[in-house]
Amino acid sequence: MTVVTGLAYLTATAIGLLASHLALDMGHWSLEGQRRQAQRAWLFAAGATMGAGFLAAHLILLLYEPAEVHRFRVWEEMTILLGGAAGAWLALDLLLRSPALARWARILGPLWGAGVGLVHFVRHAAHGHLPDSVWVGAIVAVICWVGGARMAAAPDSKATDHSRHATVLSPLLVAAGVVVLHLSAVGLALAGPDTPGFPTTWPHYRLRVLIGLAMLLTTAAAVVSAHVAQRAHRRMTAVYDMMPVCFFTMDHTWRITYANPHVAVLAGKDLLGHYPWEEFPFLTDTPLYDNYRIVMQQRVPMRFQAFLPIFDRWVDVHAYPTDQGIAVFYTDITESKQAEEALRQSAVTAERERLRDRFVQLAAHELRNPLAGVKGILSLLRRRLAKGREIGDLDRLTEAMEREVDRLSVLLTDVMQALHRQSDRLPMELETIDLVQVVEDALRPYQMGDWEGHRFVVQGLGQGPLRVRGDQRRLEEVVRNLLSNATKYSPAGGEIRLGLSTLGSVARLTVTDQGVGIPADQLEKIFEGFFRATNLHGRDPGGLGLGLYICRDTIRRHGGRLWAESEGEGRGATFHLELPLSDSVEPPREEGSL
Amino acid sequence: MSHILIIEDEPTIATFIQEALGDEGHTTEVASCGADGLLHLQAGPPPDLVLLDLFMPMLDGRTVLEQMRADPRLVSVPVILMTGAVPGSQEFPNPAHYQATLTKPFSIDELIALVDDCLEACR
Repeated sequence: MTVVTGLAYLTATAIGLLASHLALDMGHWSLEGQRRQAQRAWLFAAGATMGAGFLAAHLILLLYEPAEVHRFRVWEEMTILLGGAAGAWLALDLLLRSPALARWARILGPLWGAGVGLVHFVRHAAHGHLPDSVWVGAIVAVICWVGGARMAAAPDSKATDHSRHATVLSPLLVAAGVVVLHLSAVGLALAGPDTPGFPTTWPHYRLRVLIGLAMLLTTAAAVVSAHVAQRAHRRMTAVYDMMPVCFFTMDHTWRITYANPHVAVLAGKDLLGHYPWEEFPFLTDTPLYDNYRIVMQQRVPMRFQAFLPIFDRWVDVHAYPTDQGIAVFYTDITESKQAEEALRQSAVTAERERLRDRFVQLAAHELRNPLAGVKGILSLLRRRLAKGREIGDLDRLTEAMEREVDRLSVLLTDVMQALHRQSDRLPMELETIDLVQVVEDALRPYQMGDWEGHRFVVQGLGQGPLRVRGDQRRLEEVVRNLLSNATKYSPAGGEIRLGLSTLGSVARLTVTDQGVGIPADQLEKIFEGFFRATNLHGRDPGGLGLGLYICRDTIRRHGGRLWAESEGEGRGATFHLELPLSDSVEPPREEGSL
Repeated sequence: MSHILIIEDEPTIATFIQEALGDEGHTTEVASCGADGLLHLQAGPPPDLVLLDLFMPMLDGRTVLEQMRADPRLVSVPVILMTGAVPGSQEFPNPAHYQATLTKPFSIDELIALVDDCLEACR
């Protein structure tokens, strides 16, 4: 039976060694290369050794040497067993790094320490071994170890001074505890069975010497491994420290486990061991929060740019999943962003200037032409009258003047409307109206005369009312404008198709012509002010290029859309107008009814 | 009496110029766009004077003028530009290629005076 007990202790020591190796290995490979991590690895080793050793030894004692136990009450032994289980659990937790297990280990750790200490104290007091300094040493060692373990396991969740002290103190406490315990075991064994208080029923003292030495060896091995791991980590972090970009790592609980000096420069403080979402709550409103979550949960790398309002910086972020959590590189791109923004602003300014130039140029031409016609005819008449010549065809000349004055008036209305629209002051009266009626009204003048032989083909007028909320007069203007464009840009005799339909909750009007078409790069530009398609043949249709600009603005104010499609030059064009049906959609904000 | 070609896409303006020049005893032809103007120039004998609108769609006055100056038959035909633009802007052609400008709107008196001056100078 002595052999069995000895084997039990040896097995326990072996398990402890294995566990400590695993713990150190993990510490070694993690990026948490700070000194604290090495210390923790050391602690894992000690915890694993002790916990697994106690558990295995007592289990084997209970199973194979019940005679050893019979002198004690079962509950005492069970307390020690539970303590051993808690120690093993703590070791396991540190191996698995599970926050849930860590919480339990933190509760059970001290209970175990207190339990073991109390049981040993009461037991040996009852058997008259109390003066035995060795057992007092053992109790102190166990309490020290548990206290240290608890402090080491607990602190980092809160970034306080307490955690910093605990981080330094816990390994010292554990070291002291383990050393005292082992020394006392060795001392006891060396003193021999004649020493008062030596439990004679226990395994042979020589075996205890071996066990004590093995445990000391374990501890020494753990310390050396920790030191090696620490050096390896220092080398690794030295590289990260030197990198010209910000780099940090977080574990699964979002705790920052490493941060190079550039991070501290940007954040204004050392973030190691802290939680970014607690330190900088505003970050949860930035893309950082959502994107880091994606990287963490879906285990995919991501690259993105984000603005950090409090720091007033732009960052370009690369985030990668790691076995510990997440690793993040980022560079400060504020300056290039500012340059980009300045460039964009200057492009906007240039675009505005281009539009203004175009307006001035077009206005000079478009407004001067009708004036030139009127002035020319008037001066012709004056000259003829002065020289006593025949006036000529007065009807034709005055009619031409009238036409030019009308043209001027239309141009001025367009300009005024465009200016009003730019300042959002155009009055609009929204009421429920029938789009079919609007189209019929707009078509009427076209159906009366012969419009250069254009044929109008209308589909969908007979389907009943299409109720929309809108300004009847303005919508009619839009439709008439589309029809006028279709005739202007189509050859005489061309067919112009109108289609009315509903599409879900919107009413749609399409106007298709067989005219000159619109080049693809101009499909959107034609809706800008002062722009006219460049592929015009023959006579200039005139105008300031404001028609479609005004149309789109009107439709936008109705909560609808207006856009053009064309298969290219010479292949006609189709304009689509969509308005929400009034029973499906609320009208847009009151901006139009001012 | 001279033969004058009017290249102008605005019918009202073309009409009154034609009438006014007719009153002065000139014969006129009207082309309604740049391409039409070039056709007229290339088809018949060169006119004594061209009244050319600068701002026209597709083939503008500037291009018409360049082509005229590149053609040995038309290189010496005097040209009066008609424009609403301000002289000196980018759109303006080489000043050596035309004799005078008429800024719209202009009166018949200005037109006649300029046409007479031009014809006189080139005679």
